[in-house]
Amino acid sequence: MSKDKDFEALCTRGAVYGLGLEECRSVDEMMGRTPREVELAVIGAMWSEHCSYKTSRKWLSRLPGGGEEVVCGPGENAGVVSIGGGYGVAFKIESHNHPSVIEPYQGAATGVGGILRDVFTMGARPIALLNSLWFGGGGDEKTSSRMSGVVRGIGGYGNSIGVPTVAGETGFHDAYRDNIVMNAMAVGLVKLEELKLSQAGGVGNVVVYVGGSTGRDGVKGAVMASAGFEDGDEFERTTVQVADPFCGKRLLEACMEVVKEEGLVAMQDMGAAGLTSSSVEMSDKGGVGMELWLDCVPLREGDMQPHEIMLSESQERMLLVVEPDSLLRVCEIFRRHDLEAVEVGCVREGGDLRLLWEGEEVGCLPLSPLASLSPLYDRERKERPSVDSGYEGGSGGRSVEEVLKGLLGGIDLCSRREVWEQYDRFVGGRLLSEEGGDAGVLDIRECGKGLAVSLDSKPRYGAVDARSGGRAVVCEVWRNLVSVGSRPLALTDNLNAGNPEDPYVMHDFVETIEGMREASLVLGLSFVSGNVSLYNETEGRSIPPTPVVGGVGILEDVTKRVSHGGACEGWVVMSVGVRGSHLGASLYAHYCSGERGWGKVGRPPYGAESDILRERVYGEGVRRLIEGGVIGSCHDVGDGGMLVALVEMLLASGRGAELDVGEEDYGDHGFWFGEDGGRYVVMGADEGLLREGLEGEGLAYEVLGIVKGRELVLKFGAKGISLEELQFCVEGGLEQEVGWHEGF
Amino acid sequence: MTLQGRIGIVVFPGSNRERDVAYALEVSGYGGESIFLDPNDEEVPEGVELVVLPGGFSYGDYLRSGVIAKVSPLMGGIRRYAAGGGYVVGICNGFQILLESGLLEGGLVGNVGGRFVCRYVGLKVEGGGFFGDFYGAGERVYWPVAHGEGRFVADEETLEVLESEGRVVLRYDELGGVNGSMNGIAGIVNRGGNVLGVMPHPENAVGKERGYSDGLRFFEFLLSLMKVRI
Repeated sequence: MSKDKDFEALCTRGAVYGLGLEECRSVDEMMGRTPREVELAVIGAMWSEHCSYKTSRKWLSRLPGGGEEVVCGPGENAGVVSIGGGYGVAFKIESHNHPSVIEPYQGAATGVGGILRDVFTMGARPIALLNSLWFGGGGDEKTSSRMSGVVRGIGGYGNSIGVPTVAGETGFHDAYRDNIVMNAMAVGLVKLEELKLSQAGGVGNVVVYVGGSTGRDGVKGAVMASAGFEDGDEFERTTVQVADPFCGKRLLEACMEVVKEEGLVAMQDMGAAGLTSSSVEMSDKGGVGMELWLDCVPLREGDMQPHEIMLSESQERMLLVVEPDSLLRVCEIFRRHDLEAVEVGCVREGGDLRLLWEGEEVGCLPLSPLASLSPLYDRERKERPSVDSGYEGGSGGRSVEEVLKGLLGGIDLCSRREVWEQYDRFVGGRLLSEEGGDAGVLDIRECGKGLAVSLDSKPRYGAVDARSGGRAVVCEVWRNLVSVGSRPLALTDNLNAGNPEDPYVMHDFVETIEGMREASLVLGLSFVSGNVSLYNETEGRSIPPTPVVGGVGILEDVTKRVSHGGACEGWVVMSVGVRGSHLGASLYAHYCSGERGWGKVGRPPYGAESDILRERVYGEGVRRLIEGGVIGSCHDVGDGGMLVALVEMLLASGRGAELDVGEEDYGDHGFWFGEDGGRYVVMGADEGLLREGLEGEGLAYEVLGIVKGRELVLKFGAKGISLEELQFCVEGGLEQEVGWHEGF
Repeated sequence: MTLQGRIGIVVFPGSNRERDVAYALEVSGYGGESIFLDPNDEEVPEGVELVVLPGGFSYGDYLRSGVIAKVSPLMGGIRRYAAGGGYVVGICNGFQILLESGLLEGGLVGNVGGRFVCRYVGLKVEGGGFFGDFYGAGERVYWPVAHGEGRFVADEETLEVLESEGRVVLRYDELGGVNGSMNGIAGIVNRGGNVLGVMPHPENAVGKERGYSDGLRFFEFLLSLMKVRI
């Protein structure tokens, strides 16, 4: 009887830390006694969705992770790929969706700070930031102010710490009205011999705490990010951390010095669940025990309890394992950067994490069971009943030109200038690419190469068919990297989804992964790092599956890169790839039907695996022709189809074009606006060479016309649209559509 | 101590374009090594012929740009260095610090529009011939800006003095400027012509690759000021 009562009490206490009934049973089994408060807190955090990936772990392993150039795969602070010359690129993506809803500025800023630390904790100097943002459909103040806060927060951190934000995307849809998506990716450059891992080791080595002091901010942040929002949750401000980019900058510079120190065994950022996850992960990976002296941790508030210290997510902190001989030198480096470095524990034999307060044990957790008993769910999945939207197509009588102008000025395609102008793109002096291009291109002068980076999502497709959406997003990143002339190297992903306890959501989640798996296998790319953000739901409304995928590509010769701009008068304009026809779930379909709701206008492309194979063939061919100098300007065909890609190229070049398509083509809206995959618009000086090259690669193409003047003419004799008019459509859309303007 | 070079770049905690400046000097033909100066030192080291205060967010710039950097020990040394005729150049945050320190006149406050702004801007080189043969009078150049507090302000008298003495060397070439600066001012010099402050970033316009390489000549000009060519 009393045993039952004890268990009941455990469940009540466990619930405070997000532990469910089954999980409390595991706690009982693991501890064999009544757990103390701090122990429950540590277990709750480690077994939260955020830290344990208990829902997704089973499925994440489906994503390919290895590869010739992969130095570090998933499981480290960031993934690392070799780019030759003794250098590597470390990169990872992270979400800060929940905090950015509650406190947009701080949520976004700390998201950027956190992902930067993941990269520089490995000894890599961050050289680029990217972000993917999804907000509500616009028109309401909530969306405007959130967007303003998030954009300012990203700039506030990145600009100050001095890492350029070089690419990204900002999308709007009602599906994100209550749960926004804020994903940030960081890319760092590392001399491979200076690469640092997070594996603790060496009994007797010292555990050093570095950085800002520990406060109550972010306590239970990992638990918060593992649940949906209910009414009133927006006021849970104490779960959001506060950013200090100046401290982050000092930490960055100090860490860059410290990684050169021989006696530094391991280093890890205190991210989600702070001291808890860093100490547990470092010792578990190294197969050693650890002792932490909590009374030595620098505190912002004197009366903090052990469980609060273990759970705090105060920013700009690192945990280091250092050989005793190096301790003084390491501490001196941090002190020079005006950072506190304190000895807070040691590496021990055995497999326990011992927590002490003034020499007295306040908690002791067995590390191996903490990992092995970590919950693993195979949640119920159920396929959504297929809805035949009955989409018939048709433009509602609009001409091609009318549709084009409507699309360009619409919320999905209009210029994001007002967003990205708030990000410093130039600091570091590496950016080579033009704004608005397919991928950011960075000068890696250390080894004479170029690095292309891109970040994308395709929830419009995923909302209809999760698997197609998963395939499409990987293919989009591939095309973006190819379009600048780079060879894609590897990927990182952030899977944003709703409440996984909803079988439909869970089904979509798995389908998304399967789609991404298929595409990455065919394209020969692996995922070297990643993150999952579940429970993006409010009062039962989940966001659609929103996988955000980032990629890096290498340019062996940076002078051979191209952009979507730079076309010259007289150049030939060609479309490469199958003839466009797929209008289901396209921007065209949404625009012409007036239906904003995703999933209501037919099925997306990438319905078959063969679509991916074509993607590979065309991507490789186009890249070779760029490398060979035959293609002078290139843009992939994505949202809005071929004509939109073409116009974006003309605007970037400041030139018009005279196309000469047949009457039948002119009237075929699938030809202009279809979103079939594996396609590019290319321009070049020498039509003969282009034809020869494309035929040599066995790629289908169509000559559309030539670059000419300052008007776009679609067929012989048709009325042209001036560049100015096209530009006018693209600019100003954000203000009109989102109600976002100066002052916000 | 033997010096590695003769150009000193001050690295305040929070500076973030010091390497950009060093790189720009390098591609502009500077063969020496740039030395990074510690703001906690009292004096500019012997033999340094040019001091650059780079962009960034010195000491976090949480209060007001440059207000903490102003009281760092090295700024005292830089004042003495400038008083002795030494060349001092401040870019962006460096310009803000020079103004806060009183080495240049006027102030830089929050942009009109209230936002950080990063883009290439057209700039007009003013006619005073300050840049010698490196930039022609009235020439239009493109450098990027990246700042939240770049609106140049000054009282009427100061403005009048700056203009009449031909000490405005660079102006934003668009109506109202990118940030609302008075008279479109983007760069000024002191009366002695040895302390220069510019808001845009020439160090990020030195890539012949990128199309904009207008910043190269700015650094070539700086190198020409040095007594001994390397």
